[in-house]
Amino acid sequence: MQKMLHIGLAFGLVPFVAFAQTPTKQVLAGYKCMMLAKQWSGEGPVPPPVPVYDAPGGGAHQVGVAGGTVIVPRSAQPTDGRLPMVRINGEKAWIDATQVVQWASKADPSASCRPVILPNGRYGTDGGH
Amino acid sequence: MSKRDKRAPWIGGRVRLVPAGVAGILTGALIDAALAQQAQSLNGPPVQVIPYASEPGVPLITINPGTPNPFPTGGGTGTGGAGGGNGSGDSTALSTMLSQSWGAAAVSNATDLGVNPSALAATCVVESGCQNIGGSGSVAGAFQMTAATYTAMINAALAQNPSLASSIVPGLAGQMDPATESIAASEYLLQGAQYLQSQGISNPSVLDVRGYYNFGPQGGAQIASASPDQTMASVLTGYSASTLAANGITPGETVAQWQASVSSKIGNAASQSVLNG
Repeated sequence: MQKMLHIGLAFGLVPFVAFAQTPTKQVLAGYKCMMLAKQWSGEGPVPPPVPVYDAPGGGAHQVGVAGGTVIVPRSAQPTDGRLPMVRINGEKAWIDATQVVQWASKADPSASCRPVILPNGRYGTDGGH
Repeated sequence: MSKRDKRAPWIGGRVRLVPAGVAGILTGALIDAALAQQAQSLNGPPVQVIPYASEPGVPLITINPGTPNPFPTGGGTGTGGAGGGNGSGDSTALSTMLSQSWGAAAVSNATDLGVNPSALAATCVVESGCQNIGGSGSVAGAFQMTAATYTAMINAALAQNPSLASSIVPGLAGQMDPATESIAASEYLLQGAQYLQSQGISNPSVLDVRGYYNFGPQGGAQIASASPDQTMASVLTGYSASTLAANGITPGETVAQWQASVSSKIGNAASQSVLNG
């Protein structure tokens, strides 16, 4: 294989060999989709940002804000009022449990949501019916 | 860059990435060398030299409207984070903006605020074709901002970079001065990208920020982290079917289809980073 790579390198072919392999998404087993309780409908005032923290409890630091969909461990229970979650970059964070509700799509009530790691490395979702 | 960024599991590990990267660099160098040999022909209006950076201590920079744009060829340079924008630089959108008399000033304004000029150019291309036109309600200008958004963004931009104040058309009249509105639009892009970063998107692309623009902070993150085959209706959880329709989303339209429709308007700027550096 190494010899083939050297040959490929000489002819500038290696990038094509590497990128010919189709990236795939990976299911995040043990996690589920939730969503922010205050969803923006596309009209009127945008709800205030929902902070996410580096830990449960009062001394935690805010590390960012939540997107509309929130990925949480399927069996997670609140700790000091906060649920663990996975951010889009894969980092663990904590969100106030009162800020999230069961996932549902208003325009497509039969839709489902499944947490995945996308081919581009982002932690996100796919879905179906 | 995180360990996850380096791993690239779908390619099969770091070992195979190294020679691929070396080959890519060599190939890129050969392409650059080849391009350097090509003559560039002028298009658009006659060349007019317009100085726009005359700050004491700063070298005078000029960009000539109608000439090939001054950024690296090949669709941009640099690399983004995992899933993020792919560098910044040349784009067809940028060439469109630079063909306007105010294009060079807009490039300067974007750069001063840390925004990729191609991202700004993509905004005017998709909003107005980079034409200084009116709109419905208070929407106006080449970047089609509402009066309220324009006012908020121009104030934020000037607070961030007071030196820009010397070149603007003051008051709401600035909304119809494309060079001035470009400052507000750049600030809006900057804030959108920073917001997406706060949601964990390390290097937001122009396409990511278009999602933020069109569907708000929650929807922007939902689209940016959605599988391409998901429907827009299922991803934008807070939107009703009628609101989606009002935003031009057809029943069953997927994220990939929406992204393709945006990309068809802004071309190769779509995958570039919004933020410079």
